[in-house]
Amino acid sequence: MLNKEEAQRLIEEVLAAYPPDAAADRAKHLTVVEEATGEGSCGITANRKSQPGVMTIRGCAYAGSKGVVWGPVKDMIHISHGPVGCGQYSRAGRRNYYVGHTGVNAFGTMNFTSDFQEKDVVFGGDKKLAKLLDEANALFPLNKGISIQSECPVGLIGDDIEAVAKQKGAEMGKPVVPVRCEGFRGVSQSLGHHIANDTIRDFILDRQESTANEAGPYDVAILGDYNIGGDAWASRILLEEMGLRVVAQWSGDGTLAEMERTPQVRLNLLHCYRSMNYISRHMEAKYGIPWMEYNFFGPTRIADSLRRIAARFDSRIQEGAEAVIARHQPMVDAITHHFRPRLEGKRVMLYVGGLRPRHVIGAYEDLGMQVVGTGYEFGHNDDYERTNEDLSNTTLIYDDASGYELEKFVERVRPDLVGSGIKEKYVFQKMGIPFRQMHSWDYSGPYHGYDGYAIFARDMDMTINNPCWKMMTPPWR
Amino acid sequence: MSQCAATIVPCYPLFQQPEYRELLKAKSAEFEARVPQEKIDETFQWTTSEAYRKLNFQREALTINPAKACQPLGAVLCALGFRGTLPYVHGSQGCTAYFRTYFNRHFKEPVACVSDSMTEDSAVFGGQKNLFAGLQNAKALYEPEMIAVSSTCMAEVIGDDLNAFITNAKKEGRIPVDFPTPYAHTPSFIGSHLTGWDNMLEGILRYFTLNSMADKTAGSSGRINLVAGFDGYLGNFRLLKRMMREMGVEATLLSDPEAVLDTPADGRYRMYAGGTPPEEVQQAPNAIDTLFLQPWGIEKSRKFVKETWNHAATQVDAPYGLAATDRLLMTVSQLTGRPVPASLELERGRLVDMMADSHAWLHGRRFSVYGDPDFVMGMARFLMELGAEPLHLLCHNATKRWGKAMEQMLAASPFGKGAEVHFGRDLWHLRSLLFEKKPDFLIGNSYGKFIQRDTLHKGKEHEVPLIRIGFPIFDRHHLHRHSTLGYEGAMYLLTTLVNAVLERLDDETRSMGETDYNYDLIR
Amino acid sequence: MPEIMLRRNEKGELLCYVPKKDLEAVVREVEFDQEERWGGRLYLANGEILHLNPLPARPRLPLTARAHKVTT
Repeated sequence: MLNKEEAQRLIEEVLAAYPPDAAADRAKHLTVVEEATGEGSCGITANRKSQPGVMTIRGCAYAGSKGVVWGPVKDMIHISHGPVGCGQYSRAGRRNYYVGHTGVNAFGTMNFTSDFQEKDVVFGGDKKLAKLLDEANALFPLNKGISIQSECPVGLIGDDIEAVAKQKGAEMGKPVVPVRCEGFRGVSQSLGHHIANDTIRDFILDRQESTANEAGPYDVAILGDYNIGGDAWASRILLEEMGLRVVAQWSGDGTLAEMERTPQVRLNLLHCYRSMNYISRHMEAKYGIPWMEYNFFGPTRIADSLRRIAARFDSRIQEGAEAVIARHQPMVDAITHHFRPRLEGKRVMLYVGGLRPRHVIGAYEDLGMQVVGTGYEFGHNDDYERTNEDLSNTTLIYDDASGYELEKFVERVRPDLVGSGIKEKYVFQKMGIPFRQMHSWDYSGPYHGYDGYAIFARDMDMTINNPCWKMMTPPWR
Repeated sequence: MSQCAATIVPCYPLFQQPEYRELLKAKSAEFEARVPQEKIDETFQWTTSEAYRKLNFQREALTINPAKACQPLGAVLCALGFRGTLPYVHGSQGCTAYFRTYFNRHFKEPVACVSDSMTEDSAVFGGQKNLFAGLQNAKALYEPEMIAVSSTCMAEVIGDDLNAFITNAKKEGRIPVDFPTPYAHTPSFIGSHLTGWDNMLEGILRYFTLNSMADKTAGSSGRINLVAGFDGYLGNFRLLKRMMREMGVEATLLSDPEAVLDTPADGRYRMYAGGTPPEEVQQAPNAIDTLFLQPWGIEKSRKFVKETWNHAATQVDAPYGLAATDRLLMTVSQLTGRPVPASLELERGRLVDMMADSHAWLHGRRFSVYGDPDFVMGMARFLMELGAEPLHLLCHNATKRWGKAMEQMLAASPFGKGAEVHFGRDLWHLRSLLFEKKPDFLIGNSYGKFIQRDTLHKGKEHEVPLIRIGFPIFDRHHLHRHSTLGYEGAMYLLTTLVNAVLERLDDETRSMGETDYNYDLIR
Repeated sequence: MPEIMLRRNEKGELLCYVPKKDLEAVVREVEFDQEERWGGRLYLANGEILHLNPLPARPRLPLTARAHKVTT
C-alpha cells in the first residue's frame, strides 16, 4: 500500500498530464486520507462540473431520474420524451428486479419513447406528447400512471410538458408526471435524482392526501433501494423478520400505491442517501416522519443497522432484531470462515456512484479485505463527510475521476480487486486486475442483507481467485 | 435459512425459496394495489388479439421498444475504426456514458470516447468554450492521433457550429492547426445510428481528401475501398480483409474497428489498436472504386465518394449468403481484373455442401427477422437460398424505398411469397405480428427475448424462440466475434439456424413416455 | 436568504441542511437556546455562521426556515 507521501506524489504525477486549468480544477477532487477523523469532507470538492474532454464516467440528469429513481416504479409507464437513443441505451440495463406481467400491469423493462423527429424539434413536441399519452393509456389500460422523462431537446425548444401532463392527467384520472430531467441540467446523475424526488413530492404525494390506509405501529418504508439483483427483497425479509411492516419500497419493485401510503409510516429507512435524501427530508418536514440511514452490506453493518433501527421501536422489535441477528449468525460465521482465509489482506479500489463507495467498505472488511482507494461519480460533500467515518487506513480519494486518473491510480497501486462500472471493467481486466461491477453486481446479487453477504463473499472470491489472472503472460516470455 | 456456505445461490434460485415466495406474494397482496389476476390474464389475452393488433398499428406518436438507436452512437463506432482515433462527442455528457456502456456490453471491451460535458450555461451561451477545453484536455491526456468530433441533440438544437468552433480552437492554440479533427453533425432526431455512422465517415473522408484532390486519380493505386458500415460483428472486418487478400486485391477498409474492439488480456490496456491509417484514407481517392456493403444504410458518404473522388461506387448488395457474396467477388474481380481464387471457390463449395447437408431441416421453416435494413434484406435473401421462408421482415430505420425493394426481392422467389415487409415499425408492432401469424423462429438482437417470453406466456404452442443475430447482443457471450458476411459468415449463420431448429426439436420431444419419437441421436 | 432545514441526527446533535448548497453540517452552538427565545446565530461545524430570526419558543423539529449567512 502507498503511504501518504507516495500517494500524494502519485496524485501530482497524474495531475501533471493535464493542461494547467484542468490540473488546477482536478487537484481539488483528489486527495489522500490517512485515517478517519470522523469529521470533514476529506478536504475534497465535489458535485462540480466535469472537465470537458477528460472522459468522465458520469451520466446525466435523465439517467438519474429515468434510470434510477422513476424507472423502477413498475406499474407506471415512463416515457423517454425526446430522441430515440436515451431510452434505448437505458432500457433494462440496471437490473431493478420486479415481479409482474410486463406489458400488462408492469412496464419496467420496456422502452416507451416519443422518438423525436426533426419536425418535433422545429414545431414542438407537445401535440405528439398529448397523443402518445392517449395511445399509451389505450394500449396499456392497467397502468397506474405515466411519467414523462424529458431528454435534452425538450428543455431547449420551449415545450410546455407541464400543461400537457396536467390536461391528460385530469382526463385519465391518473398521475401524469412531467419530469424536467433534461440531460444538460446539473453536473451528473445527481440533479436527476433531486428533480425526480421533487416530482414525486409534487405529483404523487401532494396529489391526494391519502389517508385511506390505516397506519400500523411498525410501518416503515425502504427508501433508496433499487432492488438491483433483488437487494430490496433481501433487505425487506430481515426487516419483516424482526417484526416491522415494510409498506413501501422506493423504488425497486415499487408501485404507485406504495409511494402514496408512505406518508403514514413511522420511520423512513434510507439506504441510498444520495438519491433519496430529498424526499426523506420532505416527508420529515411535512408529515413529521423521521428518517434514518442504514447499511445492509456485510454482517457488521447489518447487525449495527438492525439494532439502530430497532432502537426506534419498542422492546418487541428490539428483541426481534436480536433474534434475526442470532438466527443468521451461524450462516454468517460459516461464510466468513470459508472465505476470509481466501481474501484476507486483499486490497480493493472502488469507484462507484453515490452510496457504495462508502457503504460496501464494511462488507470488504468483514472478509478481511482493505479498501485503499475510493471515490464517487456524483457524490456531494455530505457524502464525503459520511465516508470519512468508514475509512480505516490510508486511502486515496478521487471525486469524478477521469478514465486517465483511474487507469494511472490502479496501475500504480496494483490493488487485488477493482470495483467499479462496466465502462471501467474491461480496461482493468486487460491489465490483469480482478474486477467486479459494483453497480449491477456484475449480473449477480443481491448483495444486501445476510443472503446478499454470502453472494458478495462468493463473488469476490471467484473473481480474485479465478485462475485467468495468472495466464496473461505466455510461458515463453 | 436461505443461504448455506456450501451452496451459495444468487437471485435465481434464491428467490424461488418459500420464504421469498411468501414475502413477494404478501407484498403484492397487501401493498401494491395490484389488479386482480383474472383482470391481468384477460388483459394479456387481449394484447395478443386481432383487435389489439389493429389498435397497436394505429399508433402515430408513441414508439414502444424501438429497434434502432441514435446518430452519435454510430458516429462513435465509425470513429473507433480509424488508427489512433479518439471519438469525441460534443454536447451533454450522459450521451457518451450511454454510448460507451452500450458498446461495452455488446463487445465486452473497453471503449474510449470523450464528451465535452455541456451544461445549462452552455445551452445559453453555446458550447464553444467546452469544445476548446475539451479538445485541449483530450489531446493532452489521451494523446490520440486524431480526434473525431460528433454531436448530441443538445448541441444540435442550440445550433453549435462544429466547423467554426474547431477552427477557432486551433486559432486559439488549444490544439495544433495540423492536428486531425474531422467532424460530423449527428442530430439524434434525424435517422438512426446508421445515419450517424455515415455522417462520421463522410466527415473523415472529407477532412482527409477534400482539399487534396488535385494529385489524385481514381484507379491509380489499383486498390479497392470497402465500407462495411455499422456492424457489430468483428469477424466481418477480418473476413473482408481475408477475402481481398486471397484475391490478391489490396483493399482499404474505411473504418475497421476489429483490433481496437478485440485487444488481448496480457497485462496492458491499449486505448488504441489497429484501425484504418489516416494515410490510407488520404490515398483512398486513388483506388479503383469504393464499394458500400450496407447500401441501405449509407447515403452521404457514397455521394461524397462519387462527386469528389469520381468513383463509380458500384452497387453491391450486403454480402449475406451465397449469391450476394458471389456478386461481390465478381464485382471486385471485374473492377481489379483479378480472378476469384481457388481458395474462395473452395470455401464457396464448402458452404454449398453445408447447405445441402442441412436443407432438410431448414426447407420450409418460417423465420421472422428484424434489424438494420441491409441485415434484414441480406438475411431474407439467405433464408430463401436455404429454402426457408421469411415471414415478417421488420426494419425500424428503413424507408419506403427499402420496402419496395424488399417486395421486389421477395416476389422473385417462390420462398418469398408468404413474407410481409414492415418498415418504420417497432418491436411492439412485431409482437402483435407474431401473435397474428406464428413463425418457427424470430431472428434479431437481444431485445427479442422479451417477445419470446410474451409468446410463451400465451402458451408453449405460441412460443417463438429467438435466434440471436444482430446488434446489440448483450445476453450471450462472444457471438460478436463471428462473421455473418461472405461464405464464412453464411456458414456461421447456417450453423446457428440449423442447430436452433434441432435444439428446439429436442426441447419439444424430450418428454419421456410421451414424445419418444423424433428425439433422435442422429440427424 | 436561503432556506434551511433543521433536524436532529441519531446522536441527538442539531443538524442544519441547506438544500440549495446541499450542505449538511452539525450546529455547534445556537445563540439563543431558551424555551422562550430560540435562534439567532447558528454556529456550524464547518465554520460558517447563519442567522435565523429568533423564534418565540423552542421549535419542534424538523423545522424549515429562512436564514442568512453571517460574514465575519
